Amino acid sequence: MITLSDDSYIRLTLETFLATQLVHFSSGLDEDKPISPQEGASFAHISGYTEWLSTTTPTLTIGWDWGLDVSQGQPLYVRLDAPRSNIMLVDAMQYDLGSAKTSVLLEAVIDALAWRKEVHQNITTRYA
Amino acid sequence: MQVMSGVPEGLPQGLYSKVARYRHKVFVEQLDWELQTQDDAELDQFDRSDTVYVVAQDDEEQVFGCARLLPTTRPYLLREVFPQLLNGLQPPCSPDVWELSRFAAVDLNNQTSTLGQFSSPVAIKLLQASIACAAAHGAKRLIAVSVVGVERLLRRAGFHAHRAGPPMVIDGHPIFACWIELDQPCQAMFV
Repeated sequence: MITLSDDSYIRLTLETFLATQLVHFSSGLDEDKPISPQEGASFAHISGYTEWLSTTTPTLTIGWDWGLDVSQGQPLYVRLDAPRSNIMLVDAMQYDLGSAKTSVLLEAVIDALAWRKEVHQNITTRYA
Repeated sequence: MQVMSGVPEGLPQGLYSKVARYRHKVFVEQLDWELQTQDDAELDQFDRSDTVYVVAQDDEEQVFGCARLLPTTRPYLLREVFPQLLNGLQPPCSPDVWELSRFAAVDLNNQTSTLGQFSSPVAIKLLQASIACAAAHGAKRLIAVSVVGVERLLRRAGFHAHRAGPPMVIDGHPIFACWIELDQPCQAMFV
């Protein structure tokens, strides 16, 4: 069940979110942000953002920042920072998990999502 | 840098016109938005006698930042022009909620990236002043229509911002509606 609340958040369980298809909306490059490398990673000075939407009504929207990690030889798109969304995950009793827990869970979902190829294609096409 | 705010009648003589010309330079000439213009000035139906303006000027009284505040209890941009950005929710209509629009902190004499307008110290100070002004008028939250990318910059700057709905491409620009909460962490930034 997906519920749009008056505070603009869409409330749903993690299970429902995992079963929801996300489609790419847009991606772009940062033009003026300096890179803040994560520990153990080495980034080319390329970073940006990406936005994804659900195909449901009401619409889930989630976006995150990414950076290009070149420390392993092959450039790898890596999520940076917490995602931004209109999602508030709830438990089985429909109680809010809260912003912090929701963010951590969304990060895990994003990291397991197949988004890198789509972002790469979009970026290379847009900035060709 | 000096920041002042008020309704048109309460601003120093000539400042309202300066703001309109500044908005034309930023939003029409630089950002290429399709807006109503006349004689190199940008004003629309939401520039009323009760509209509150926040204006940043340099020591030579040149405008290099502006913001517009409207109560949601009267017509405002999001409700009248972009209600589709709210994901099906009714636009807010409350004395607790004000709309922030026409926000810019671009020094026309020292050009930077237009997205940099939200990451510069001047932009942050202007936004803090806008928030303080809205709070003084009773606002507990702001709603704004903005380009995608602004939310991340607001959050990096420490503001409690979150999206009110999914982004949409309108007139070629991906835009979205954004809440800015005037809660405790935000207020503490300008005590």
